[in-house]
Amino acid sequence: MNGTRLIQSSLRTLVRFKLRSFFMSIGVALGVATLIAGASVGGGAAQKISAQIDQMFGPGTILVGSRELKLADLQAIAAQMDQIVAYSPNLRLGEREIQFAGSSEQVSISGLSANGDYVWNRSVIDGRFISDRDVDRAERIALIGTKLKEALFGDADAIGEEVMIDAVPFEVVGILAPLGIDPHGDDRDMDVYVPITAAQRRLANTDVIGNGKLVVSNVENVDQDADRVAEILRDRFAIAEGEPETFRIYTSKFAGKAAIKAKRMLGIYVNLAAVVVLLVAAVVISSIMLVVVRERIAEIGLRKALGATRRSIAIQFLCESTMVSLVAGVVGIGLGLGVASIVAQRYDIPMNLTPLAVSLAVLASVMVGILSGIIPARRAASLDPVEALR
Amino acid sequence: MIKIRNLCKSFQRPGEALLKVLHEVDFSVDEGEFVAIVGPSGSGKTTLMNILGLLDRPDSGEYELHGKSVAQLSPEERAKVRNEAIGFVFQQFHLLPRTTATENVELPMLYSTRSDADIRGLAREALCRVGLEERLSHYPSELSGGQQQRVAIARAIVNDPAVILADEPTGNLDQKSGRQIIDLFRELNRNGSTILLITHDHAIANEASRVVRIDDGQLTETITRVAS
Repeated sequence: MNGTRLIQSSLRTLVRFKLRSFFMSIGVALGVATLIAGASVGGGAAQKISAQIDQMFGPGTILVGSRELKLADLQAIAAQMDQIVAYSPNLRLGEREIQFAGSSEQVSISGLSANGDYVWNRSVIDGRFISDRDVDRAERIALIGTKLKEALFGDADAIGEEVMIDAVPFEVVGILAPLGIDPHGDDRDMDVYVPITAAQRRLANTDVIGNGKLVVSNVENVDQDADRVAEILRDRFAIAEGEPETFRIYTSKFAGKAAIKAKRMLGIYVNLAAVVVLLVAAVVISSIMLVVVRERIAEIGLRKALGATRRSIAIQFLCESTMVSLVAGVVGIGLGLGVASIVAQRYDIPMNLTPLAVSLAVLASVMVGILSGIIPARRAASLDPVEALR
Repeated sequence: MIKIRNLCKSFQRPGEALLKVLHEVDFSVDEGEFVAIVGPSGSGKTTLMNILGLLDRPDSGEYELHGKSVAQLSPEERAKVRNEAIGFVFQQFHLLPRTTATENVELPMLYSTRSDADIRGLAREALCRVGLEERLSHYPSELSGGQQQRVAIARAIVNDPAVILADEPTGNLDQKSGRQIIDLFRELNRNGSTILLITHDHAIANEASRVVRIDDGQLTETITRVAS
């Protein structure tokens, strides 16, 4: 039988027995939808996370953290390494109380230097950033996030107002550009930034900075540069050979790798679930096809009497199961795209569907169709025409 | 056209004695003949028909169809011979449901190497020959029993077979429709078709040019007439 006629008659059988076709296709459609939605949402989420990481870390940056870390350590590193183009401390004071006119909030407060807007990628949309003069004089000035501004001041202007941080008065001089929720789940629009020196002397009474970020000139060499930074810090902290480090060091590459790994793990689980669904779908199609073969024994006998070979009977049933599965796969791609676009809209994730994912989905449905058709097709082909026509 | 010699076929059901259905049967049909085989049920008619139609294989003996020995062909070779040289007509019509008359007639040609245009043209032509030119796109459920059997006959003649094998073709029809079917066979025979008809109905058998009786697996010639 020629190909076009085979496909035509398979599609007609599919349309003729709508309910049966529905039950046969539902598994494949769901499995393929899972694959497509997983690929699209997973890809989009990875894109969003790496964009967020780039925004937080910036490309080509080294993060160092230690309870002993002082500003002098960053200065010494920058003095010894030409490839460090900028550095900035970030003293995290953790949750503190901020008050204004009777309303109060628990917020995380950090101390930054004047170049913090560039190094930490945090600018103001209103007012001004911290200046070198603020840092030199440990000025009691503060930058606040947009949500915190709303919580404390509502619609009123916040610039120039005095807020109390742990009972110390600070003047609000700037409103931070909105960032949203970071991957840790912290709302970055509730942040408060003060000059690093003010955080050290007026709020924490310490001379350590806790965290620092170094920007390197060449993104490619960031891992080697991080090794050199570690060497300098071991030396300055007098850590003997073989002793464990008392500081932490990360590069933007490392953070990117973590995100990629997380995405890969998620992808593996989603795909595994889809494969299980597709295998179950294959079993369902296979058992329904076996019933179909039994129902159509007379037809098979007739076709054999009229000259159909074992091969052409087998191909006919393989074609039927494959067409059901293929049509279901196409429906599943649509379904998966629908789910993906709802998720994308709801969680503000870009849609990311590659042609490769679509072709894999089509291939998967064809494979399921062929796989599930093998046993029924063999049974149909091996029927004895004399028995079948009785 | 058909020549069989010393044909034997027996069945063995588990726990039962060997049942000899056909026993050293000799039989032949010449080109252009209209032969009826009569016999009570259980006499081996259907087994003979299955072997003649290459649906089943004899245990021993020779079968020559159209000058070619076909008794021990492989299943694939037999499928090819069935497709090209034999036209089947069954008691239960065996039309595909929800499939038009034309498509039912096209069915045997789908397993040949004919082109799509040929297939459509020949199916139409065969349906015209059985007088169903008005029913080309009808479904079996929209046709009477007699019309359904005509579709089946069109399907049997469409590949221009060497022989038409009809097994109780009037068994499921009322007398009038049955009569028309027999008339159609006679007409096909007059136009050159070789027809082998199996029936238990003597009145129908007597329409044939030769009647062969089968009893307990053996054939006896009963009536031979000059073709009318």
